[in-house]
Order: sequence, then structure tokens, then C-alpha cells
Amino acid sequence: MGVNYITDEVKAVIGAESEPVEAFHPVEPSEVRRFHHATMDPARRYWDAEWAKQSRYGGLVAPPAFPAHAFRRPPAAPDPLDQMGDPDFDGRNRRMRPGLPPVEVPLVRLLNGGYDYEFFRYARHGERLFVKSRFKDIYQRDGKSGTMVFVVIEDLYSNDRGEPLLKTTNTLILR
Amino acid sequence: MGTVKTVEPQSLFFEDFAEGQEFSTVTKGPMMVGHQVRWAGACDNYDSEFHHDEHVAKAQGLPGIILSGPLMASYLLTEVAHWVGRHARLLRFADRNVGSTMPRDTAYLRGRVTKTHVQDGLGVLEIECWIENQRGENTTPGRAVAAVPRRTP
Repeated sequence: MGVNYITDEVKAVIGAESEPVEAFHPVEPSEVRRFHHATMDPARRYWDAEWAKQSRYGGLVAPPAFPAHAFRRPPAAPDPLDQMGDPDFDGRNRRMRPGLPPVEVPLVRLLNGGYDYEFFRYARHGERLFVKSRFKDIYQRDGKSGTMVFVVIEDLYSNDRGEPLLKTTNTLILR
Repeated sequence: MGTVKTVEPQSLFFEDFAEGQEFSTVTKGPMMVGHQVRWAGACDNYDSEFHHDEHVAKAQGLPGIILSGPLMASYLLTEVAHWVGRHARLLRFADRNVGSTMPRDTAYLRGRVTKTHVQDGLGVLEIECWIENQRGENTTPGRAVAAVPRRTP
């Protein structure tokens, strides 16, 4: 038997939901450009306004997974790089999503296990983005390198008209 | 220098796909730290230093810098969206980051149609996709579902 990381405190946050959180900036053309450059996606629907207007999209859109990566640090928010040098960091106060409580697991390393995306519609340039997050499950498994804790987070992204854009189920692995 | 080819996915209909059909393999790389840095900048996410600092990566017991799993999966998602054509609507995409991609690795993006069926008059494709490295290891298994209009509804 290894360590039991799924304590009562951890169990208590399973099912916790955030209030809707708004991305600091609406969908901006240059952020869309940075994203489709990064993912090497050259489709015209993201950058050619004339083409996009004639297309079934009716205007410029962002790549389908864009909302999941569009919640950037607001200007006055604490700098995450400042706390990375903290020698006392034990993983317990790690915030996995804005608006969700920390998962009190004393494991320092975090890996991204993968995403399951359900697409509803593309985000359009100029739209404001909102996300509502929920801890869907938290459990542990014994692996070759020791016990790992899996944190499964469901995020529902929508625009300022309340239309759902994207639902993701993201598995984060603490070890 | 050649010009950068910027394209929309090609015009394809449900009848253009068949179960078992393999898509053309897309090669990315050799991967560079620059790919990772560009992704970190696009997402404004610099939280994991082992994605860009070799010393930190090795101090954490890793063989070296590991490229972001969501970055590699995003390449795969992009190709799936191109494979299914410009009229398609991507409904689902899921990936698992089971292996690491390091700088100087090559990523081969592969996929095949596992199932085709018609639902409510719309063609539906179920797809298995994955990333293989130069050693033949599957680092990123994935699956996708797309709705594709029929040429003759």
C-alpha cells in the first residue's frame, strides 16, 4: 500500500464547479494568428477576411481548440514565474483552473495526460469568451514511478451570447 | 526561399471516404525548442520549465526537454480537420499523451477511417489517429468523429 492522496479534503472538491470566468481579452486577430502559427494550421478561415466572408463561416473564426488556450493572465494578476522559485512549494496550493479550489495533493510535478474535445461551434473574432470548470473526478493509480494522482477537469466554453463553443475533458497527472 | 502554401482543406464529401482508408501521413519536424516556445507564447503558459529549460528537465529526472503534449495533440487535431475536408464539421477529438516528444524528434501524423455511417441524412466518419516518432513509437493515440455532407443526399 502506498500513500493515500485521496483524502477527505480531496474528495470534498470532486464535483466542485466554478462560476463563469471571462477571458480578459475577446478573440483577437493577432492572438488567433499566433495560435494557428503555433499549431501550423494555414486555413484561410482564420485570417483571410474576404475569403471568410464568402465562406460558410460568414466571417473570420478561431481554430476549434482556441478557447481552451485563450484564458491568458490578466495584466494585474500575480506572475506565475514569481512563485516557481519558491523552495517551499509542495503542490498543495496549486490552482488548476480559475474559480476552482486547489487540490490538496503534495505532489510537485504535473503532466498533461490529454484532452477530449467536443466541438459545438467556432469562436468568432471579436467574441468574448467564458469558461465554467468542474472537477469531474480525482483518483490515484500506482505506476512504475510511484503513485500518480489523476485530476479530471471538465471545462465548458461559451461566447457572450451564451452559445456553447467547446467542451473539454482534460486529465492532469500529478506525480 | 519557397512561398508558404496557405490552404483551406480540400473539397470532400462523404462518398470520398471508406472504412479502412488511410490518410496521407504528414511529417512534422525535426521538432525544435522553437516549436515549443512558439506554443507557450501563443497560450501564454510558461508554467512547466521542463518544456523549455534542459537543466530543469534533467534535474527532474527527465532525459531532456519534453515538448508539450497538448502542442503535439494540436498538430494531430489540425491534420484531422484537414483530412476530413472543408465541408466537414469536427464533432469530437480526443488524445492521450502516452509518450514524449523531444527536440530533434520527428513526428509522423497518421490516421485512418475506422467506421462510416449515415445519421439523420449526414455522413459520419469515425477516425483513429496517432503520432509516431522516428523509432516507430506511438506517442499520441487519438480518435475523432466528423460529420461530412453527402454529395448526393
